[in-house]
Amino acid sequence: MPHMIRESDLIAQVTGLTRHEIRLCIESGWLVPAEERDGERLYLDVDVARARLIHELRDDLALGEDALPVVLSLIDQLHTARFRLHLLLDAVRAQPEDHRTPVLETLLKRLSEATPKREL
Amino acid sequence: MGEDPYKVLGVKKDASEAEIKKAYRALAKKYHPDLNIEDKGAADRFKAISQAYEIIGDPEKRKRFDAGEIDSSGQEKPERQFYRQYAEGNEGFKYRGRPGQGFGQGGPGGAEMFEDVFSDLFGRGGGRGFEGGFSNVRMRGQDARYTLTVDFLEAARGERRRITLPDGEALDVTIPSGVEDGQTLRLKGKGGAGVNGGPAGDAYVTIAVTPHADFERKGNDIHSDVPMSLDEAVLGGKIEVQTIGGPLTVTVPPGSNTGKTLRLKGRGITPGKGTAGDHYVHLKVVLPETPDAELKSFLESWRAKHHYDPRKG
Repeated sequence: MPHMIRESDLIAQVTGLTRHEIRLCIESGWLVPAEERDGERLYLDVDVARARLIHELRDDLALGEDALPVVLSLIDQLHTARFRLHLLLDAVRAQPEDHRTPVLETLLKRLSEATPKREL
Repeated sequence: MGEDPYKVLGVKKDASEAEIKKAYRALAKKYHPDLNIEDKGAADRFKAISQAYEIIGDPEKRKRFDAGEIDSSGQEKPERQFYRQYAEGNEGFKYRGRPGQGFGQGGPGGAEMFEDVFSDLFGRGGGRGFEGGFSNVRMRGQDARYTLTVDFLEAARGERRRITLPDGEALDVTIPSGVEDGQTLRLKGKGGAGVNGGPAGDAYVTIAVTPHADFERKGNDIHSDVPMSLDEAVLGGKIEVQTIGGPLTVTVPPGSNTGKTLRLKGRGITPGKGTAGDHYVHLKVVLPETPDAELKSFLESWRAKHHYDPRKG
């Protein structure tokens, strides 16, 4: 059973976060509560960290209402890309060594080819 | 601990509250770990920035800090968790690849993207949930690619050049005579170190040759335009010509016109293998800047008797 907290605890944990802001985040689809039980929304650690990030982007970094979804979307895209990359690496790792090595060597070769040459 | 919070935020001791806030925002934007997902050092920098702001961004605490009542560390807070620590784990699933976001879109390109992937691959960095690196795989090191600019004469004659690789290793490289622009030299074993006892990669050095003001290269032959005076053209004579091997005295035959070509055999490029090229001198008549009275009066009388039309077939 993953660790879940209530909305009041979320507010207590993230300095400056308000119930109003949480509602805005949920309505905009930026924050997705883990589940609702007896009319109360519950949050996972990931949601707490994300709520803190959104609050900081809005408050500390003064991102406007137009910029915030753009930034969040870019962050999500980056994590999506990295997640897939790690899946791919995990699949490579699962291969026996004599299959793995040529893949890695090809990868390094491509990287070296794609790296601009340095002036000596 | 104990870095001066004013220094951390890069503001003066007498900065206004607004100035401090502005400086903090600029730095936080730059270093926020969730905006620098690939940069592992960002968390430490961000922590220092937040801590500094917590003290001098708060007028009460700033007063106490300035008065020496509290130090720059304030009080330690429990280690905070950034979003990026969850984003790629199971819990982060719901925020990944949502409609209109990740799927089907290319990620950022560039080698940096792979850098921490590589450290995961070789078990150098911390695996993020994927256990077991490739620490036991024996692999050849990465090839390194460089460009090296040499001037025309160095390339034509060939020479030894001392170069310094980015890791600081100095290396004597033989630039073969007659090396051509765009040609690549392979320095065996001078690339990246091998992994787990694997052999080192190679360094590939692509040569860029800078052009020469007077010499032009065609294969192993060298061409140059050489001016001569009117009297040298008509009467012939000995002139000094520059070649890639140095100056050379050359005989201009009498009646040499502009466009006449002299071939200096074997004075072109001597390649490592194969026969030496030649140097072709393209002669060009150059009149005196201002013709003197004597030359003019001579040509007037000469023209009366010997007029010719070079445009007539």
